[in-house]
Formats: sequence, C-alpha cells, structure tokens
Amino acid sequence: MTSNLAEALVEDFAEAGLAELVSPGKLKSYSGENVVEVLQEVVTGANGNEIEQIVIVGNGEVIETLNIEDEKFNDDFFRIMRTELNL
Amino acid sequence: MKTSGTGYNPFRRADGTFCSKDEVGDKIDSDYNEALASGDTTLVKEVAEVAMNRFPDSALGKRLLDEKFGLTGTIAKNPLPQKDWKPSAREQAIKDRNLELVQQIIAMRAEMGGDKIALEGANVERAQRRLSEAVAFAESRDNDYLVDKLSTARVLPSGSFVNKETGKRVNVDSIIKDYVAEKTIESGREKIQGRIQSLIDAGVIAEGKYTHRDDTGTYTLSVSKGFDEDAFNKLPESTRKAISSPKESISVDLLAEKYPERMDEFVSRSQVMEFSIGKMPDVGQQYFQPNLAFTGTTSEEAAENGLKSLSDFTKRTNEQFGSKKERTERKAENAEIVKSAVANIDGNVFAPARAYANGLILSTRRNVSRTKLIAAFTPEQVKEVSVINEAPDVEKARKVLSPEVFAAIFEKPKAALRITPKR
Repeated sequence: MTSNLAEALVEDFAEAGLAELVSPGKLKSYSGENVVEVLQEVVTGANGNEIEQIVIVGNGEVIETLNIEDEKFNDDFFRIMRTELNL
Repeated sequence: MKTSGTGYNPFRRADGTFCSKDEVGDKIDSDYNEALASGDTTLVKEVAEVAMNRFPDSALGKRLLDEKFGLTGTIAKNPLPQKDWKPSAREQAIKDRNLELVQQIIAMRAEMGGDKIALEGANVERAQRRLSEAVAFAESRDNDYLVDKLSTARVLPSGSFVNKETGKRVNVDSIIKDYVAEKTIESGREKIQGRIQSLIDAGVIAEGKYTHRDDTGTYTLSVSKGFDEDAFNKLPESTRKAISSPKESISVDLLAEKYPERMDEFVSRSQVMEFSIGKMPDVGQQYFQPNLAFTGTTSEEAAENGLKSLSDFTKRTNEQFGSKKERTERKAENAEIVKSAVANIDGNVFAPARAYANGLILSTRRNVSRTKLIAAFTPEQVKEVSVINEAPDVEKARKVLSPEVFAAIFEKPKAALRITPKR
C-alpha cells in the first residue's frame, strides 16, 4: 500500500475490481471510455494553515476538489468516482 | 517507373507492359532504388508501403520491415494489422445468421409469456419490437457485447423515471442527449489534442510544460515521453508477443465456475448503464467543432495557440452543456433515479427511449476484490481462478527492438491536456 492518500484511494478501487489501474493514481473504466486521475495537493489557507485536498480529474478536466477533513468527503468522493467510471 | 501521386503499380513497367508475379520482387527493388536516386520522397514512400504491406516476403519488403521493426525472419513476414477491418463474405454470413438467431430468441421469449420479455406494465409486442430494433442496431455496429446483453434483457414499460422522495423526473431521451453532448465535447478535445500531437511529431512543439490562463481557468499542456499504444498495436502480432510478458488477473467467470459457494465473499455488484443509439439526437454537434488551424514559429507560441483553441472550445461547450462539475452532478443524479427504480429487478433491463432504436441498457457488473481473494485463497487456488493476459514489457522490448523502434514506442513525446476551471 502506498503512503500517498490519492494513490491509495485509487488502488482500493482497482483492488476491488471496480476499474483498471493505469498508473499510480490513475484508473480506466472497463469500457475504456473514461480515465480518472486522483491527485493530492496541499494548499495554504488564509490563516497560514495547510489544507490537504484530493483533486478528481475526469478525462483531462478537473471535476472536483475535496477537502479530506470534510465530513462528506467519503460520500462525495465515491459518488463522483462511481459516476465517472460508470458504476 | 512513374512519378508519385498517381498510384504506384508494382507490376507495371516503364514501357507500359506488365511483369509476372515471379519478377515483381526484383522489380520493386529496382523501382525503390530508382525512386531514391530521383529524390522523389513521395514515390519512395509509396513503393515502400507496397513492399511492406503487399510483398512482405520480397527482399525489399523483408529489409524494410526489419528496418521499421528491428526484427528479422518470421516476425517480419507478418503483414501489418489492418486498421479498417471489414468482415469477409463468410464472416458476414455468420454475423447475419447470428442476428437472425438472436431475433428468434427474442421472439421465442415473447411467445413463452409476457414476463419473459416485458416487465410489469409493458406491452409485450412493443417490448419485442423495441428490443429487436436495438439488437439490429447493435449488430450493425459490430457490438456483439451489447447484442449479447440485449438478447437476454427485459423491457420496461417506459423510459421515464421519477424519484419518489424528491419528485424529480428524468427520461431516457434526455439521458442519451447528455451522453451525446459529453461525447461531442470529448471528440472536440481529442481533435485539438490530435492537432497538437501532429505539431509535436513535426518537431514544432518540444517536450516541456506549457500553460495558458484566462478568465475561465487554467489550461495546461504537458509534452513528455511515454508509451504509444497505437504504435505498439501496429506491430505484427508476433513482435508484440516477443516484447510482452504474462500478466495474471482474477476471472469472475472462473471463480463462479470453480467456487460458486464463495462468490458472495469476494464479489460485489454494481449496475452499469449503456446505450443503444440508432437515431442520433441533435445536441448541436455541428456547432461544436474546434479551431484546428493553429501553429506557431516557436514551441511556446504553437502551444499557446493550441491551448487558446482548447479554452475557446471549452467556453462554448460549457455555455451550452454546463461545466464538467455540473454535468457530472447531473449524470450522478439521473443515474441514481434510474438505478433505484430497477434495483430489485434481476437480469438485464432495457428502458426504451421515444426515438427509434434508442434506449438504455442496465446490467449488473460483478467486481472481484483481488485483495480479499488473495488473502483468503492459497496460491494454487488463486491460479485456478486466474487468466493470463499479455502486457508490454519495457525490459524485453529494450532487448528485442532496435533503439529507434524502442524510442518510437516507449519514449514517444506525447501530449497531455489538463483543464482546471476557475473556482
């Protein structure tokens, strides 16, 4: 298991047989129509605090940036991933 | 001999007479040397293509294939894969017979009883007709996978759905329109990417990262070395095999066959939505053609012009179809309404659209959790439920291919585009 959260989330999808792993952090739907990339980034907030974010990129376009501390993170993440991967 | 551009005929001599099959190998060789000496590069290319594709066993054909693929002997003899495959008369006859059989199966199911083909509330006759139309369409597109799914599907009374809690309605026609809009956007972007790639191939845009920012967002082009799947697929089959290694993957079918009692332990199910589109809905496809007439005198200028074209195209499609985020939200919401309506129905389901031969197919996909299975099974059991596929192997390829061919396949400068909308 990788220490990068984005790559770990993607690995989970691939390990569960939901999509095909193309490269670390990158998945392809079994139909081959959709490629989803998950990236991790740290942004500095207005008060100087650091916020960890997960960026979901579908077919080359950023769909959503999610704050991993957000209570809805899991729901939102899986909802977008399933939609993009046609599951 | 001839000049280029009028179609090279390997059998035709300069004096208008024709050589025999036995002589053609030598003739191509001498035509090739003449073309090289004349400096007519188009003709050189034409003769070379004929030699490699039509006469791979000729001395010139062998030599050129060797040079192109870095290999000799039997590997080079294999003709290049044909891009536009067309079935032979016999294959077409089998396909026609197959379609006839599938249509018979559908008719038989309708005769066996309404519930075999139509779901509660659906008209059996209409269900049979809609299914037959969709099957004929899928078959005409050589989509055997979809034909297979449709042949066992049952038809819903309509393609309209409502969320009982929120009252929100959605119909198959609008879902198909959204799908076509998404494909229109993807196709336009692919064209821009293709144009950028041609500028990279021509040496106009060099490796590097280029960014364009405007009021709609940030557009990034990355040009870096990568694997070129198209070039790999163009290699003769035996070459591909020579530079590939076995890759094991779990087969859900084998698992179901060998360990049916343990399926629930490792297999989860998800519903997949697919479409039959016999009549293409009009979403204004013709108005969404990207500008491809861009270039530049420097890498930066050409990349900037390409990214501006992408930005302009994205702005126009977003205005018409909504942003990527809005489109994804809409897709998720509609999928949820449809899937919850058919959640308790077993097997494949066809929801007819109003337009002829259009509809939505919902089927269940079984997903095996590799992690869970490997943790619970012995290595022998894992092997029993695994299938072996071939995957490109960089190290093998490095040894087998010539450095030029290796670089063309595994280190090809490739374009990747990224759009980050303004938050």
